[in-house]
Amino acid sequence: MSRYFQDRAIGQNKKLRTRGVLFDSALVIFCKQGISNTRLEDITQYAGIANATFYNHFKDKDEFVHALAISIVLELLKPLEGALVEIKDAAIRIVVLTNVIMNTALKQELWGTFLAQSFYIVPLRILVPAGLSRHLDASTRLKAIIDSGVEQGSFSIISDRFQMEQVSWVLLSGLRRLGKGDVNIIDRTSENMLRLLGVSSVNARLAVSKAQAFLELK
Amino acid sequence: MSRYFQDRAIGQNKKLRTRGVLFDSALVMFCQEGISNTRLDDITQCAGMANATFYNHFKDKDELVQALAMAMAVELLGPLKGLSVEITDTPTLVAVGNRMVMSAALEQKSWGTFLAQSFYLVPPSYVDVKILMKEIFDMGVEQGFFTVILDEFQMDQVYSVMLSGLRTLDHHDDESLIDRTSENMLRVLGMSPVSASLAVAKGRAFIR
Repeated sequence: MSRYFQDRAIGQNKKLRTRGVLFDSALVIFCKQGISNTRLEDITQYAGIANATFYNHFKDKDEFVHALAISIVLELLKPLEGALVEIKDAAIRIVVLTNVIMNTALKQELWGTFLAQSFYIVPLRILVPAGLSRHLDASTRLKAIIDSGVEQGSFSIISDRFQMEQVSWVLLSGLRRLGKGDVNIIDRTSENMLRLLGVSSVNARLAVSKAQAFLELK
Repeated sequence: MSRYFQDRAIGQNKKLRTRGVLFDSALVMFCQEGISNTRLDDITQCAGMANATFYNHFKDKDELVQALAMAMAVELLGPLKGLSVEITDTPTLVAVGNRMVMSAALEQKSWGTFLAQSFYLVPPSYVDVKILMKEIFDMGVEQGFFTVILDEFQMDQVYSVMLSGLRTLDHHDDESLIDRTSENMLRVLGMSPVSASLAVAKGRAFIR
């Protein structure tokens, strides 16, 4: 079991430490059995925590899955701070964003699987209000990049929530397949996102190689 | 509650009629609560049926989800099968096929959500759909329209675009999202935005 969330809670208060243990344990079980087949007891048993303790933290499995998804999304976005400031070209920014997110997820092999599952499985009605502010935080960033690409004339799309959703699902589909042995998944996902945004295949490939050069410098 | 599967079972034997009621009721609950959060009792209660009756038809919820996904796949594939004879231009065929599937989902509220949820949950139910789509896309590569490597990964990326469109359709009653989804699929298959939008326009003309 990875101790990622437990480690981040070291020195924090008891509440956050317990959440850390629950998060790390749940990831193992969710990815082994699938979110829908996991019962609360499976998680608490694995975590060595009483069911009652779980309910001190979360109302039910749904709320728990959201909290975990949001925590992961925030962790994925953390390394982005600063990384994008130096880049002006929107296409290259998309590629760097995809690289940072997917490379972070690659280090934590269960994240991609969990995140993709949670997005496919949890109904939109529940997902959107529950995670609203945090998810918007992630998507505002994406939206800003997309809008700047439209302004620069390199993206040809209607920049609305629907198009963002389509782009996000391509990214999620890439995340789901991370670590399954396919090579070049990250670059191919970037290229597909750019194609979806209206960039030609040739220019998409060009942006990927330019971003590569930038990432190697880092 | 839509009576889609019940209506299709009218005049059939009792077993098929009961399955119809269970399918329609399950769709309501799955769409409302999500497949994972729905309990058997929710479905039987919505169907006005005893739990024991449920077990005469299905071993558990998983089996019901699989059967429902399979039934839906059959309904969606039916109208698509003859299309490839009529339309030889693959991008147009993709646009028309996608329009047919998504219009069905738009009419039957909750189909989109269920499809998006179950596609990765019970993959074997969708094997035939995937084979048909792959055949069509391969043809597009042969004809020189699609310029991507059509391996499992790329197929998955295209499916995601379609599923995301289907899911959104359940929450926004916006017919224009159908063509936008087709365009996006064609873009991910390697077509330029201009050619993709042209193919979608041709598809629209064909349907009329």
